[in-house]
Amino acid sequence: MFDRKSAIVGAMSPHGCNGADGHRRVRIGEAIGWDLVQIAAFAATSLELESTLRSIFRLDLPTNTGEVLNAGDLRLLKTGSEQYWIVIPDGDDLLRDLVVSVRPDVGAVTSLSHSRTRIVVEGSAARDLLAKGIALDLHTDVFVPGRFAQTGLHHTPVVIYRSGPSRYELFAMRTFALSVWEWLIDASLPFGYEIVAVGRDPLA
Amino acid sequence: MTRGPSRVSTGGRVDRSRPVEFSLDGRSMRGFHGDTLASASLANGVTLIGRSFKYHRPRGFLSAGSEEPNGLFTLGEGGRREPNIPGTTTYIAEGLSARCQNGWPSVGLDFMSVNSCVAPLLAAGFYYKTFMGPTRGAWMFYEPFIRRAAGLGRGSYERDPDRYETRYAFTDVLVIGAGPAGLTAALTAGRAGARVILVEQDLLLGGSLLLEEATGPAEAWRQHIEMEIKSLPNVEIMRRTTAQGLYDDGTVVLVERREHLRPDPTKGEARQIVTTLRTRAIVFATGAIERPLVFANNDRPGVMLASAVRSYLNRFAVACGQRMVIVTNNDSAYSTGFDLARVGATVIIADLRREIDQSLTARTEALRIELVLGSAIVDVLGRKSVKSVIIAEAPRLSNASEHTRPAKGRKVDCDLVCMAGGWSPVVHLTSHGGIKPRYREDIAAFVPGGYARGQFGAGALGGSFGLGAAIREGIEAGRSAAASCGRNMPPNQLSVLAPNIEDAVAQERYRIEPIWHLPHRRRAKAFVDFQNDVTVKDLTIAHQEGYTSVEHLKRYTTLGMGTDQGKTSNINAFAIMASLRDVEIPATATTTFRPPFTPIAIGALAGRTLGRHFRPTRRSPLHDWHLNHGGEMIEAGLWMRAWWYRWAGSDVGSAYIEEMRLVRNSVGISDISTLGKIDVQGPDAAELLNRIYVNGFAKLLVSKARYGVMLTDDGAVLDDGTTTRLSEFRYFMTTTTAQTGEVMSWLEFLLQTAWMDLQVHVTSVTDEWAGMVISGPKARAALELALPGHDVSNATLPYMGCLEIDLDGVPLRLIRLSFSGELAYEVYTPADFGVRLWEHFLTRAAPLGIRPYGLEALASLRVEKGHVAGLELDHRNTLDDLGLGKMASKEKPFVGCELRKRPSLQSSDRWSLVGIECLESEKRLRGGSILFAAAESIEGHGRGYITSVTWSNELEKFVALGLYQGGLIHEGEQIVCAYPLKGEQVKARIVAPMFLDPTGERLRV
Repeated sequence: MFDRKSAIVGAMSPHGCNGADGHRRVRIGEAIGWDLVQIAAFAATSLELESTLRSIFRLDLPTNTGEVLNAGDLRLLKTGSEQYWIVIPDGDDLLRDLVVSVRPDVGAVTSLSHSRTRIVVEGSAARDLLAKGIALDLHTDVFVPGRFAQTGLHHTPVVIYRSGPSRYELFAMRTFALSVWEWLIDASLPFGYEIVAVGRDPLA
Repeated sequence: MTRGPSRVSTGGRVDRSRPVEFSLDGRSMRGFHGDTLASASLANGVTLIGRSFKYHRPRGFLSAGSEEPNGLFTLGEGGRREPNIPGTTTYIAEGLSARCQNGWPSVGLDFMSVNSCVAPLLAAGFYYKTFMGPTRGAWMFYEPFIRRAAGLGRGSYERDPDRYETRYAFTDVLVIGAGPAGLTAALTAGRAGARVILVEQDLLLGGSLLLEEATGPAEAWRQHIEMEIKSLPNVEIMRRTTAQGLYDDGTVVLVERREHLRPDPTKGEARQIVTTLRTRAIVFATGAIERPLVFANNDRPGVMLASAVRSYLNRFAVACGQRMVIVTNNDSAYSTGFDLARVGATVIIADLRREIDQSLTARTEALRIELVLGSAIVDVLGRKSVKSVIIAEAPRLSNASEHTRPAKGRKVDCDLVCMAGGWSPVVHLTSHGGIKPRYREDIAAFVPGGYARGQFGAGALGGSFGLGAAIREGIEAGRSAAASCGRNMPPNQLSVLAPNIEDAVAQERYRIEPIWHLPHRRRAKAFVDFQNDVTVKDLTIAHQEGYTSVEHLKRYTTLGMGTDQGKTSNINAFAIMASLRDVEIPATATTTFRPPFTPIAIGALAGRTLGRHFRPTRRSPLHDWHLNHGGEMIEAGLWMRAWWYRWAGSDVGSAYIEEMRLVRNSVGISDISTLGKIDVQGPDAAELLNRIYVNGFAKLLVSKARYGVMLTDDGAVLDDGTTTRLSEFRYFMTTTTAQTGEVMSWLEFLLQTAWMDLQVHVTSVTDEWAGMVISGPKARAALELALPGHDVSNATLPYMGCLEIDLDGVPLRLIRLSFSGELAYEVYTPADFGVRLWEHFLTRAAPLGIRPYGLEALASLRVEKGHVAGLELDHRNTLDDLGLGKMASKEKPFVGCELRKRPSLQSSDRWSLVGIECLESEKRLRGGSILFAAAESIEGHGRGYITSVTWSNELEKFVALGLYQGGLIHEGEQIVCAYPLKGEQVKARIVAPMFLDPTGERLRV
């Protein structure tokens, strides 16, 4: 089987650069080893799809766009009124189960695992770094940990998920990922940055 | 006694323990940390710091703030050189290099001052009159000389090595200005629990409090409030930050300047930072600017605003003179006189008013200040510095005209003149939203005409010039702003005590008599706008020539233009204009205030949007492979695509021909990952496709692909591509690279607005799938080598068939269709596997001689085959124009089906698709060539143009596609292809737009 090759693998050599104050206040890395599945209901099937998903996950689904359900290794993001993203470890059978469980006249199941590059940004300056490019209020009281938003960065669409008070995950479009990465590194220069090795959870 | 400015031995807010070396015009000087370039220059005895815009008159500092019209410098060297920077807002830093402007060879000896001798030729609008003859083209001759003689500093063409940044920010309450009103507003809103940002263009907080003595109660209060604000974690203070513009929904653009910190770009330190700030509430506490008075020679170095002189003394410990004359029409100037007298200066106050408050009279007497009521300065003597003034009786009316002969006066020796013409609230920002200022007669000034919802004003901005009023209003504005964000606190917890300062009471009773300009001799120049050399005479000329609107006045005289945008001149000009028109000031209105409040470096607006960060680059999953294997890349929109490969030649001209030969004779592989890909799912997916495409899709079988064309709703061709049916309810649509986003948006728009009942969902999967096409007579053999165990025979995978297979755990989607006209297969795989699959094909099919081919060959192969692409699909052509009219279904409606029938789109002489073959073997066809009939003269727009062109190995000639009036009606006719840019004309012939394999045998083998 072919190995997967990330869109930013060429830029991922671990290194760093001190900021103006001599510190490295952001850590940046790429998370790999995950799959992304989009599930969307059709105009008349949203209730039926929700019912199907509840029976699969045995959990209550998020009710508002921007909310996230975390259940073990699974993360379910409500990306639209009738649409979800599910992030799971790669190799998980869930995608196969979903294709079987969600009837094609009830919902559209689409794999987007290769369409996004997942960049993790963490550190005391992470919010200031992202504020250079994302026109969202990232204050902890407003964009609380555990929520996500669909926004733009460097003229490209990104999904930003706040996985902690000073930790963010960006789902960038694969074909723009290297540009977004280069933008992040440049914007990190004043704060000082550390690029960490690729991994399932590179900043763990 | 020494004359001119000098440093005072005590006081001020500069740090005397931290000396700073800098240079002015190459002369080394020393200042202290906290000095501006202006204060440090004055402390070194420098009064002449520039020459005026037009007449090259000697000029000195007028003010101590951002309103400065004269004291502009060129800072830095090389790429860092930046002209027109006010010395009054530039903090000196170690090694700062500054140069005075507009004087040659120096401001002390400026040969261009000869302009003053020909001043009558240079009055307002001179360039519309003086330099218009003797011929019609004379202006073109004069213009370069005039521009060289006038103008401000000169910039640099070198690259600026410094770093600039942009960022976004959000807050509940923005407080603009950190004077007493702003400080108390920020403290109050902060105490109420709101998120607050306090911006101050100065390095120090305090605003007008910084005019007070550095050791008095005002300073203690200022420090106390600042400390309290700093203790609040929800309040952010942004110093050296100017609110440049107010935009819709409480958006404010801020520019922070950090030049004085000597930022190091290699460490990422920014010289300036632009913040786009979204606010929920705003408190404007922008204060007021003192304005000058208009009298003869009021521009001489040493004639300054009274408040500026006080600022230099109390903030920077610089006495601007030893013998000073103050001319005023209001109370505020007295504080300057009192403070200068206390440090030993000789002070005379010429008050235009005949009656003043008794307390002022008493204090002048106590400090031995000579007070001359009802008197004015009618002339200033001295050229490069003030030597003396003529004091005479003041006019009784505010509308003294230019030609009023001044009363005979007395000559008074002095080295400093202070002007105090009253205060103009800084209404710029509040006006940006479209709320016009209104005139308040009691203070003779414009104040905000109102505030938008969630916006509040406090202090001098609204005409409350007293300290107590500023603090009261600041508290109220801060409380209201916080409350509008849902942050309420009882008033007793929000109180702030005012400082007990000596002048507070006097300030509360600010009184002014609106006398705007003073009588002067006919030939003397009395300046209204210092930066643009606009005098009272210029305003008079403008009025005489009918420019009665202030907006026209501004354009005709240049008043209020330039870097200061008339901050010190506008109100005086309006008043004089009103006087000339014999109307009240409100009738003249004001000019329109627009952002920015102060000049912004273009670099700051650009931020990091430059170089490779100018825009994002879109890369195929195979991008790096192309680079590492001789691929030459070309931009295609945001994409970088493999253009040609070095295996095939040393330049694109030779390589693409070789790559075409490979595909026609053997097998090649090309990257088509850039094609748009859309996942269409749902019970009504077929119905959606049937409505979108002009041809039928309802009956497309599973595992079959179909070429389709879609129209815009006005009947022009939008895009083409193939859509493959993967299962009963699932389709895989491809679009052209160029129209990917547009098609996706169009589908979403229709589904969300027009066809909400359709049970369909569309998702862009362009980034999900890497794509490659294997093309050529040996393409099937290549697949058989690369995909052993999978049947790709004609029976299993026929033309326009689809096969989804699993290659050792990797999903592949094979669709047999052809862009080149040869046997070809598009192969898609999830993007992360793209490189490995590509290498797999190259390795396994190597015995067949497979090699990569690039975009140039890809596009040329389709020209030979006669397929239209982006160059023909330009949203102006119809189906019939492109020879695709027969595709349109007559059995179903589709988007654009009605409007495509408009008579103008059915005309037989429309420019339509034709093939063009070159008839001259030694010449070539070029894309963009204009087409003419054979006997026609080569002029005008012709009868059409070449859209795409290629060399054809098979025909051994250049062939092209083009649009020609009447299209194939002219098949067989000879034409001329003209390319005026190179002076070329080539004979060619109209032929059918398909140059090989018209029956399609090759692609069906």
